[in-house]
Amino acid sequence: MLGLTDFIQNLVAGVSVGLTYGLMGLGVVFLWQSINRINFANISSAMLSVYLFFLFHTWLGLSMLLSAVLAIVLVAVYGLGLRYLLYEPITKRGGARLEFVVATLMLTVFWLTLIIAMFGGMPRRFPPLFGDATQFVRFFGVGVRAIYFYMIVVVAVLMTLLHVILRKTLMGKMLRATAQSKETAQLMGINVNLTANLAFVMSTTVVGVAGLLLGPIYFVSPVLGGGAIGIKGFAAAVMGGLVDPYGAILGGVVLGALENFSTLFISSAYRDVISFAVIAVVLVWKPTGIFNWTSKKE
Amino acid sequence: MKLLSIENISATYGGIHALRAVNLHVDSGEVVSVLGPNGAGKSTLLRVISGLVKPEPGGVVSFHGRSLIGVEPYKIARQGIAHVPEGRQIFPDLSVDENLEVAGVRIDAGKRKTKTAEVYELFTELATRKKQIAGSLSGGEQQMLAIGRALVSDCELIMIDEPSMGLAPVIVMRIFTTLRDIMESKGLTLLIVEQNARLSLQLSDRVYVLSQGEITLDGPVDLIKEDEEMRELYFATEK
Repeated sequence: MLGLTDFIQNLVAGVSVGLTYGLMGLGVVFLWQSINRINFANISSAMLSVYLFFLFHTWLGLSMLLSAVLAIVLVAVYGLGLRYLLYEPITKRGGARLEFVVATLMLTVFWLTLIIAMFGGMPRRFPPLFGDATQFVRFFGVGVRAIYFYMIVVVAVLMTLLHVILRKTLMGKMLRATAQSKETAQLMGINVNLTANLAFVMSTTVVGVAGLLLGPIYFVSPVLGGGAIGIKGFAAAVMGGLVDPYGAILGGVVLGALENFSTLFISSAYRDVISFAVIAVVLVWKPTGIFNWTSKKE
Repeated sequence: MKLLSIENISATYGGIHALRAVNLHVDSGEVVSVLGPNGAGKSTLLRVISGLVKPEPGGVVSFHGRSLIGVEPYKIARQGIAHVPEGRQIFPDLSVDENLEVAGVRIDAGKRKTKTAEVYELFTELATRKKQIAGSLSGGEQQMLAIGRALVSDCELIMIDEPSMGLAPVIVMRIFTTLRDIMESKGLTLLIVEQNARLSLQLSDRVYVLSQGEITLDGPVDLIKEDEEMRELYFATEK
């Protein structure tokens, strides 16, 4: 018999991991909204931030906090690289969506193989950025692994920050205007180069943060840059119709909870089988996103 | 004084020769209409001015004597040219307030507030819908918002593409009257592109007639009204 405590523990674990999928989904939404492209190369951002963090801390001996900040900054710069070294040249030479998707897919595989060549395929120990991984904290009277608590706090802070930027600042409003019509935004005097840069940087940064949050669970391993986790981010984004940031987060949460309860009630071996089956059904049933409140307001 | 000057401009748009050797100028404080049927190249003309369409080499587009050719659209907008595009193109998921706010990026926050307040005074229906999503506005209100955005930008020249499109005559009348008032009280310059000759003639000082990408007729409004070809066009829109 499943006790209430077990239920809550599993719910919290599922929801918190789901929040990180949601963050990865946000990365998809930001780019789709600003340049109308799916960018598979952004999957690598999670893996890259974790390996950079590992490199700075474990190999170069920098402090954990500094290593994490440097890793995120470099991943943000990676976003600019994706724009100026990939998106712009492809677009300038007449490449459309398909060419971009294939190129970003190739780049993901490149990073994955490069990381495996450099660090080997075996997971390395993730430095305890969020404290001891076995540590528990009290959360609504239930003992929860500390990392889940950090996930919730970090995602909540990040979401609040993004909400304030997008809803309250002129820059955020300009970003949303550009997402709705790039051409009209230009006619308003909005520098769409700047807003596109911001979108690229935001998209890789949130995925980079998600990577660091997943580190204690998946360790420093190429799994973070591979298909399964990246695809979950995309699935979360599609549940939000690719346009709704809150829908993407909620999509991630549902996915995370689904995963955890599949493990609990059925089997951990079938965890991904079940969640991907459900995602596939949901997407076929409602391809425009079940948590899409943005594009229905017409 | 010539505010906007266009000389020998040709442009292709969507594979069609949309403009052929067009010459046109707008003086400071004038209301100029470009009339012509659908597909005459009216929208392309405005898009060339605002930098969205690149003209063929050899022509001149200048504002205050400075060339606009090759300048990025957002920089052209910041020079004081507001283009109210065809179909209004408000940002549907931004609120009315936010639509006005993002239109005022070239001025500081204080001035933007004053300008926004002026727009709400002019179009009171917008004032009651400040927080509403712009996509939920009626067609007429959306047109008011689109013009409101141009006013907030504190521009010198407003270019409007078919303000009457898809709107009830009463609302069109109201918008045109407001435009005339704004013009006079604010000393703005207006370039209107319209199919509705009748209304545009009431509003304008000078008129150009554009047909299949070429200017076939131009002159002060009184002379244009006498013209036979113009009468045909004028009555054609009456039906």
